[in-house]
Amino acid sequence: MADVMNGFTEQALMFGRSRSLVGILVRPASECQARRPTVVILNTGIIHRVGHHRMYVTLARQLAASGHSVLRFDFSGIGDSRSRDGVLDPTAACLEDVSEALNYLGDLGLGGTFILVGLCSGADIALRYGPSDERVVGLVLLDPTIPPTVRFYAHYIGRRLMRSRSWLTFARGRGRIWQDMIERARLLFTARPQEGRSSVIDPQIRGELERVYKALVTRGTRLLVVLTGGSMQGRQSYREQLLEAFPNVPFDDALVLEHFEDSDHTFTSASQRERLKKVVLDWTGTMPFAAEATSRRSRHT
Amino acid sequence: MTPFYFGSPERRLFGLYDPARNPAGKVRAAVFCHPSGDEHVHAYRTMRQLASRLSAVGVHVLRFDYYGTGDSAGETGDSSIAGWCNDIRTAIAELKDMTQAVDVSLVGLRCGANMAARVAVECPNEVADVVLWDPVTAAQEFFVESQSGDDFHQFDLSLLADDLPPRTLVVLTGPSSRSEKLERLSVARFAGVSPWIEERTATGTIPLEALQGIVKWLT
Repeated sequence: MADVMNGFTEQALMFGRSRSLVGILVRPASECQARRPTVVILNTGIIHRVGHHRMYVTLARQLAASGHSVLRFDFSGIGDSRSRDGVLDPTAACLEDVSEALNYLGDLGLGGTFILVGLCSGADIALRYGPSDERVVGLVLLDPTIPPTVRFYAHYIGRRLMRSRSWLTFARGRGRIWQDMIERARLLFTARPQEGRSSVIDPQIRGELERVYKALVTRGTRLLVVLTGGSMQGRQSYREQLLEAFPNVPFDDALVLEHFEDSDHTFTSASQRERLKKVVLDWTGTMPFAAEATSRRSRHT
Repeated sequence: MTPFYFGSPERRLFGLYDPARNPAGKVRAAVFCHPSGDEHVHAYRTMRQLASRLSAVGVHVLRFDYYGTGDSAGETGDSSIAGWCNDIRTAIAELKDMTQAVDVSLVGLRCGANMAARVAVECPNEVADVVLWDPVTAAQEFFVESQSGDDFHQFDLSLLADDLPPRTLVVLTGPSSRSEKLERLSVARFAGVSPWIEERTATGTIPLEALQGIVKWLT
């Protein structure tokens, strides 16, 4: 099922414990380049493996042409992958799917090191999975969940004050500020978020995210975080929000942070997708793990 | 279900084959013609469900991506409506080869319906029946916006309607504009969701009633 093209090949796969996961493996045409970290691209919400505006197809092909093997696959119950039997909650099922994907790639001889790529919910899954698997040496997180900060609220209120409709919404007791105030009060008195919801302002969520980031940077995992001006949840409004939300995480050189002010959450603009592709390719090409992989290859040959 | 690539080396197409379960009698097979762009992404879950349901009642199903779309080869934008119609013909040949079916059903959604109609008119011996789901009735306007350089009138259903196979079903779930010619065909209307509209990606809702209606009509 290989499809040979310029600089890469594409192969349709079914894998996982019950061969229920469907994905496309894109490999460099040149074998000698195949020892860079393997890249695994995760679903965004219920969008299947091609991604919004086919952005993952293009990104995977470019990464493969630059020497990375890349797997784009569907989580259980998404796209063409069968739903998972059993009692795992959706997040646990996604984490298990990632584990099965990496192990499968390992069986193919592509499992030395990995970079996980995800947008929105995909970024959150990558982030949660990363600390559990030492083979993960890099994460590309596009609009991951970031708790709001004081500066975020200042931006948010400043923007809303300019709109008469916002005044009306506020006066009626609606809108984000009210919702967050109610949620904070709920957490203060009950220590529990609203039933059926996990709130990003919940201190437990913030604490968990902080622990995850700390574990990753302590281990030396490299992070590329791209934030858009048009974050779907409206939870991010400026470049440094990640750093200010997690002041106790020593990101230092482990983090490359990009802010695409003019991009919407799903990179609808072709020029923004092109920019994203360049940022990712530059990052994968210059991060130390690329050199480490090359060094390991040299030692083996 | 089997994911695979087919077509010529210059125009590799990605397909997903759902074999008929418990087939009986005449071999029945269906090729799906998906919408383009975001509508394809939004409707993906629905079309997968439809394939699964048809497979369960004994119909072989091939879903595939046109050249330059989805998982198929080619760059986004490297395509034309005429080229995509050729891809549908390639998919028909592939499914017939895989299943030994004499002819196939075409199930097209949105602009996929317009292209399915065109192919059905051009290949009457290959296509037994057609389901045209929320076709683009203002074909010229739609295609001018999305694909320059094509002969848009070839895909205008009001011009194709008289030559469509006798067994043609128009399924309407969305805000499709009405056409006098279309109204003369067999039309099934279903209330509720349209699978190609963006809101569906947030909830994963599928138009169950429409799926059941299509399966019943095809079998």
